[in-house]
Amino acid sequence: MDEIESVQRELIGEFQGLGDSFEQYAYLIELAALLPQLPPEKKTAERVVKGCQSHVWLDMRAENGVFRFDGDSDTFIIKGVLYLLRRMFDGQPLADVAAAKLTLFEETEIMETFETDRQKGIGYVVQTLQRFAAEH
Amino acid sequence: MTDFGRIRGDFPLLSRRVHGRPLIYLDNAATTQLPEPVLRAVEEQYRQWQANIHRGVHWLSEQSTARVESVRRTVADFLGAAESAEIIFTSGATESVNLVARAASESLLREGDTVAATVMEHHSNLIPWQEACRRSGARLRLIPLTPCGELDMEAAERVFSERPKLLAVTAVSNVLGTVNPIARLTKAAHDAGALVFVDAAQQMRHGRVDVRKWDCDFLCFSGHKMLAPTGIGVLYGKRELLERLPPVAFGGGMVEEVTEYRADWDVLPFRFEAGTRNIAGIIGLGAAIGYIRSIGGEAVYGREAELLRQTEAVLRERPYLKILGTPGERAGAVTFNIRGLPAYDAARLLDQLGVAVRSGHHCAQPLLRALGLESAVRVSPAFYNTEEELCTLGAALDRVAALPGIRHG
Repeated sequence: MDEIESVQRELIGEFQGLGDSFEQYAYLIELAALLPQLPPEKKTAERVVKGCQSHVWLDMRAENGVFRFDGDSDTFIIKGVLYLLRRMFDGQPLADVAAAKLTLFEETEIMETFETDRQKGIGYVVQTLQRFAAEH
Repeated sequence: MTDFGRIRGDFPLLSRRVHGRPLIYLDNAATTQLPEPVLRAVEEQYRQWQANIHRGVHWLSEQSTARVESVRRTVADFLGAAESAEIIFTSGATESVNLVARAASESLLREGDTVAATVMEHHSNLIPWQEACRRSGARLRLIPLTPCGELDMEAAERVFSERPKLLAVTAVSNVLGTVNPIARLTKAAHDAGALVFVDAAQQMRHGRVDVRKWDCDFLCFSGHKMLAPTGIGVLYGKRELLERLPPVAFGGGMVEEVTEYRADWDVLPFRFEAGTRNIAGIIGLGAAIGYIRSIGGEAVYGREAELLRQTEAVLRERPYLKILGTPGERAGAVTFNIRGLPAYDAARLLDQLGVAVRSGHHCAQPLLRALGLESAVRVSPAFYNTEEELCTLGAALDRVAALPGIRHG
């Protein structure tokens, strides 16, 4: 099991131990507060993820074969999701990020806290991260 | 005294549960729920009377036509219109505004003319006028707000001094709930030579609409904000003005005679009703008006006002909230933000607790921007809500606001 999968299992465990969808949402908001802030000068139009109902900015970098990313959003819940994705992907080999199979959202009820448009938006965020990793 | 507890039982959807909790539906400024008599009327239309109108000579078509025209008379009477020919059925307030704005751009408006609107308009009573100005070369002037969220009447005077051709104004703000002085605005606009188009979408459950008392030239509303189905709305216009407007949608049902290369328009109101109308929606609208009348309009308006007062009280007790606007008269909705929590998250968290409210820019971006905001949370009760539901809203807000990770500073 690579490190991404190991972190993913850990996160799934954390969420499965929570109560109903309110508790899961509340936990995501707690996590949102832990996401390192993206400096305002990095919130540029090029860093906006297209297709998201919320504003989402991703600052992605390839550093010596390692994937690095920071992100921000105008909604806390998306920031919480960015925190989860950052915990899994940031600092991991680019090839591992590109090949990772994300089951976190299927195996927990996180997606139920979103309405359909935001669910799609999260899909775009994941695609954007993995495409960058595959192309670098 | 009206038993609103019993009346609530007429709305089957209100007994639903969401996310395992009882639904508390407080998004009535967007769409109201349908009472049994409206649901039955719509079903009955499809089960017993379904036929196209105005075209058939057969019995069912005649019956269906008579039922639709009966609703037209009901609406005319409900609005205080002089005659039913002044009532045009549309798909909703948005189509009504578009109809008049498009027709005005092709007839009333010329390059260099002024059209007046307000900063608090819903996009549906703003964008059609922006487009009408773009097409005709007219200029759009917006009346700004005072700090408390009312229309700045001194600024309005300055806009009127430009002698606009038309004023487009909402009767009630869908965000702040501000009740605008329509009769006063209409008088001032008329004195300046302007026609007046009133968006009454947010007005219909909160107070009597009397187009002759207001003396407005056009007025629109949507059925789905007053217990009727979605997809049905009304445009009212004074006959002499409707006669001057060209139709903007063409097809069956709106013509007197068609030859190979031209067509003569039908009489009012049919020349503005191209194609088959939403017949079941019209029947539903008639039933909705009948239902409101069976309770008593004044009782409904009074209950709405009382519940809004209580909503405001619940919100004001909570120092972590910032309520938008302090208008002298408010109807229908109160909008706020939880300090330190984006509106989307607040509304979504409340939803997880069974409380349905709206968040976002509420299709009023110029207004939100004037307030220095991108989005906010709106609570809009209706007469079928209860005091207990408002207490639960307060408790749900407390639970959300107390979450770790939110800094109210």
